[in-house]
Amino acid sequence: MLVPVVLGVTLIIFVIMKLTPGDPILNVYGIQPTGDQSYIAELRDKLGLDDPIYVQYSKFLWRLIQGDLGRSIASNKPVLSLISEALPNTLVLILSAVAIAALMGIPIGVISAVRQGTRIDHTIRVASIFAVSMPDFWLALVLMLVFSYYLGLTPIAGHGTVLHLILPSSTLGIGMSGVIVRLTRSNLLEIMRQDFITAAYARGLSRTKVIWRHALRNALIPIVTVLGLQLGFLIAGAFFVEWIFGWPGIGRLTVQAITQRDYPVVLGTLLVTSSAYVLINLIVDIIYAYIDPRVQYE
Amino acid sequence: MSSGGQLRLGMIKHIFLDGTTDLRVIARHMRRDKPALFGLAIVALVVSMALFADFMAPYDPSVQDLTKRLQPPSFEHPFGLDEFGRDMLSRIIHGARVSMLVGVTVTTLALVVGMLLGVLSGYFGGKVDMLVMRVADIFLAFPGLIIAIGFVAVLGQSITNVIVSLVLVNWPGYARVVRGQVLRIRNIEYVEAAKAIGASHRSIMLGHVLPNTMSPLIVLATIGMGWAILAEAGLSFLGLGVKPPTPSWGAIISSGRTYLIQAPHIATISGLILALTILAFNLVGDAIRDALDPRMRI
Repeated sequence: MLVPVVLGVTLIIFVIMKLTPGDPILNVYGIQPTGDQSYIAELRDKLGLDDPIYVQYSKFLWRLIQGDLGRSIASNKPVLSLISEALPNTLVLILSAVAIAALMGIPIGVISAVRQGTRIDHTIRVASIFAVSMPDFWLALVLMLVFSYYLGLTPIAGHGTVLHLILPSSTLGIGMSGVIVRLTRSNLLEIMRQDFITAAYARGLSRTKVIWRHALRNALIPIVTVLGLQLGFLIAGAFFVEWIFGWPGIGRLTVQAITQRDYPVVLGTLLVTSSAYVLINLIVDIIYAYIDPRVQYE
Repeated sequence: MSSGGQLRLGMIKHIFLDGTTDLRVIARHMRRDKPALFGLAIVALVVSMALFADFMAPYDPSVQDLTKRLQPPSFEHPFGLDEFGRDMLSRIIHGARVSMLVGVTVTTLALVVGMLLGVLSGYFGGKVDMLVMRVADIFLAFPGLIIAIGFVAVLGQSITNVIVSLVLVNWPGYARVVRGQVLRIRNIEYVEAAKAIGASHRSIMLGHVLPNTMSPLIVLATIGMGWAILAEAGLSFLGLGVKPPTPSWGAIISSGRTYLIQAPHIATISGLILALTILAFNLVGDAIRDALDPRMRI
């Protein structure tokens, strides 16, 4: 399952990158080089740009198996080292975003469910669906304007300290917290109707204890699996957020490579992000089947 | 001959009756749902902006007045002026055209492709199912927006390429839902009965199976509209959408990013309009889901 999907993904990316109009070498140098053309021909030959597509693809796959993703045309650095430099930054960003989303989303979702039908519930529901609807790239600009420019609390962009992490991770986390609020609310409401909750009340437990110890614990199971699936959306969101805040992760690396038509880098980053996504989906599926025995896989 | 005619009549009745009951249920539910009515009002406003932009816009969206560039909102220009001194309100009204064009076209095409492949896959099973679903898996393996960015980056900046790439990443979602529904419906007695009286595959699929897959598709398509509008804006934000000077919300936000400090109104107002539009589609989609979910009916 995993292997054919990853292979298909590499094929799609490879084919679309090869369809690119324009010469990658020209794109790196910006102008048509004058003078000694033999150097250009030598470079094209060295990069294998004149080989037939299937040869280039099979060469790419063979190198891939050996862990070699090629070299960046723009910087001549190995793609793998560019990715391994960028990946930890993206992971830090995404994990902090998940933490922010869970810390904000779960308590707010509980409040919304407990106060079902009240004005607080209505406000939370509209606010959470607005959080889901906000484009990351817009929220990023608004947060930057308010917290960095007007209030001067955080640096505008860059990387290095914890302060630099606050705005990019909040941008991603706020959108995701909307999803978590909605899920927590609906799951909790469903569980609160079940018999074991009535039984807990009957045993004389307080409302707080029933909600936090019994109901929420059961409501969290599907939330955790959805958190996993949301990581894919976070990766896409990270493309914009990293680019806007100058956060040196996979997203910024990819957007830069796309503008430079540096296709070994684009191919490598898309491959890594999509493989990660496939892997996460698979793990989530397995966890889901483990938690809920009704789900069976052939 | 006569039985074929009757069957066809039955088909029409089936589609017609199914459609009206669903619509009636949705309308009844919506009337009581204030957030949904708010969403519906915004959707209506954006649709009329797209259809009647020439009449609604107070100024020509492309007329420049460099003496007034970056002016903040005022009585004459409620949304201010952009970096070329063009009226922002008029540009946002005209920008709705691109958003709605992309939203409607992408959703319709993805829906048609997804529905056809989903029905074929679920109805026939076997190799057809295997092939369609593996291809769908590959596309679903990517975070959709990222592969769309890859596609447009390669195919070139144009509205057609935006639409093509968004359809490419969007159809598998519909196909999967339709397939699931078909698998559920395929063995229900009335389909067996239609088979027994000798109905053709085509009439069973169109007359009996497809109409019953509609409910989840309506929800998916409404939310899909919001997604397509957001994706177009995202692509335009990265400079991969429609070419300037055609106004597009994403491109307006992107140029607002450059002047974020001097003229914060450009990015904030246009982004807010975009967020409200996506919010509106999500609210309407949510309300339709609630209306069609039998568990929500009291």
